[in-house]
Amino acid sequence: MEVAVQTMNGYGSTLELARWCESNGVPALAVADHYLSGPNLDSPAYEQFVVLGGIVRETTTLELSTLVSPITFRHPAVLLKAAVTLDEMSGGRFTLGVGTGWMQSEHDAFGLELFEMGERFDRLEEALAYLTAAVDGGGEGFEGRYYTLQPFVPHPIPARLRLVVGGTGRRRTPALAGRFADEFNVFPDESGWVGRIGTARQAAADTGRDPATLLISAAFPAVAGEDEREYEDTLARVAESRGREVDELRQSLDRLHIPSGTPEQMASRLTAMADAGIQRVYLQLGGSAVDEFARAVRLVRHALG
Amino acid sequence: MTEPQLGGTYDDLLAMARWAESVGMVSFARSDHYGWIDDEWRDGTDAFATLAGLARDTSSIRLAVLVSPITFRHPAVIAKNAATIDQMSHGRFDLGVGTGWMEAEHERFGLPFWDRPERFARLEETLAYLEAAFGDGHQEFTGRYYRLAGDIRPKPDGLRILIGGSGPAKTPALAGRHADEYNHFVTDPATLAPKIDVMRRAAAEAGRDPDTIAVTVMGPILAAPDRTSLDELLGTEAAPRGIDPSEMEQRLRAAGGVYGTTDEVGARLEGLAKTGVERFYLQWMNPTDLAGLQNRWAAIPAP
Repeated sequence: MEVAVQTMNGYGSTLELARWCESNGVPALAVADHYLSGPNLDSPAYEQFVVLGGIVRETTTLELSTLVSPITFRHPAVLLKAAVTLDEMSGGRFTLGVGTGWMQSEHDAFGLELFEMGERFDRLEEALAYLTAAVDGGGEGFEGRYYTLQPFVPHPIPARLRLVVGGTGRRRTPALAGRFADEFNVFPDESGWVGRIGTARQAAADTGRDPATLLISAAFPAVAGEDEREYEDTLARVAESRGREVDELRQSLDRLHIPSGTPEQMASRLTAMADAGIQRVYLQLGGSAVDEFARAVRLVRHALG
Repeated sequence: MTEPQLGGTYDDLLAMARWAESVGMVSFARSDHYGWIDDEWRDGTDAFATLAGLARDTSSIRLAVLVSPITFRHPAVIAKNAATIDQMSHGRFDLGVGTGWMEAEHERFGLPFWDRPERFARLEETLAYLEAAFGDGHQEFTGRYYRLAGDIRPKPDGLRILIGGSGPAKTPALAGRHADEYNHFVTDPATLAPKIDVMRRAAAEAGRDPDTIAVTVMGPILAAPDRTSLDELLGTEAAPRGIDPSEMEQRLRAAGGVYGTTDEVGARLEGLAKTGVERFYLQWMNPTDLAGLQNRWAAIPAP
């Protein structure tokens, strides 16, 4: 199982983390894509496609992705152009993540429309079909209810652009991932990992794709410690940064089958994830201090043996 | 100022930007188009992502998008793109916005292309939205199309807002009310002067100092020692526009463009400067031909 990281920050912090990843064998850095970075408006949030436009120039091997970009922010044409541009600038190291969007507060603050859930899924499906038609070189175009791409081959044609689909949906999200994406990012869920991964693989097979080529990944908050005491400290810190009660956070980590605790405690849940088919985990941290990521990566690697 | 929808890679853009920086140019600008008016659909890249790369790959030259159509992106997305490049470039970014005009690219990609009055109304709302987003203190904006409900972060450090367009009334008035820079396609002083007046009056009426708003032009400059070389230049400029050299010359003459012998070009630039033009963005339509740009630049008389 690969250990990767997920962050969301301004340029300097993201660059520092990206460089640390490259020199410490972390294969991928994913960025969350939100226009608010916390419950308060005064926490700065950035355009992550622009952040990555710099990061691709200052790294050489690291895989980079948005995990995931809400289709409520940008028209698929804009997602397409940003993605193929990052693909070219990075020499094929970029993966575009798309999802329905969910954070009501950021949509309210910026006057962006958060369509009702059914419409968001319909739009996500159309956006994926649009993006696929645009990059596969066939020039067949796409005509949907919300988005239309005329029949032609847009340039530049990406070298190796990949798509990742992620979200909390239990039915449509895995089905869309299997049908359109190169990577399915499974959200932690009470139902466990197995069912939705099966749905995604079945959808891939139904579309005539090889399910084995679908990368399965999951992202979760890194709440880990060398020993019980360090774990309790980390738990308290993460709870505070997320505005949650310590016990409530502890219970939710258990309920959602998220590896947490000491390496010994994490080991069984990581094994369960690997057994379910998860090939990569993205460790999330509230802040983006490199030493915190370094500690979390070390502990999860230790747990994996 | 170059037009990457006509082809080229990021590395082509970078070579051009670094050369521009090395010869002391003040700004490197690119267009924001997803295609072009002819039927050749070449390499339209994302303006903001490439400018983000250039922000890191250059060190002193200003960077500009000239101009980004408000039909492509919601003002929230424009604001976040601009503020982030501002941070990454340490305040070297100029955000140009306009109504959008190339209907074909909108049709191709299924982007909305509202009628002209609505595009202008949305442009003005976008500008007010950006002011609320970037201003100090708690500011809100509620328009017919867009609304901003919070005092968001980050605030840019050195970002300037540029409004480009060649209309006689609406564009200069919007520039006067909202912009740090008013950019017009190159023309003769007699055509430009009344528009500058409109811009300055609008600024004064909005309580702004008109002298703080830079007037700039964008367009080709064709300077040649003799008629034969000038014909060659006209051919180079005509090709990407899909027209022949004589039509290019007619268009330049009609538009008041800058072309002719070295002395004539020098006089034309002098005339523009006297009209109040502070900066000329040399438009270069061949993004993969840096040597051609260098030759073009070398023939332009120093101010």
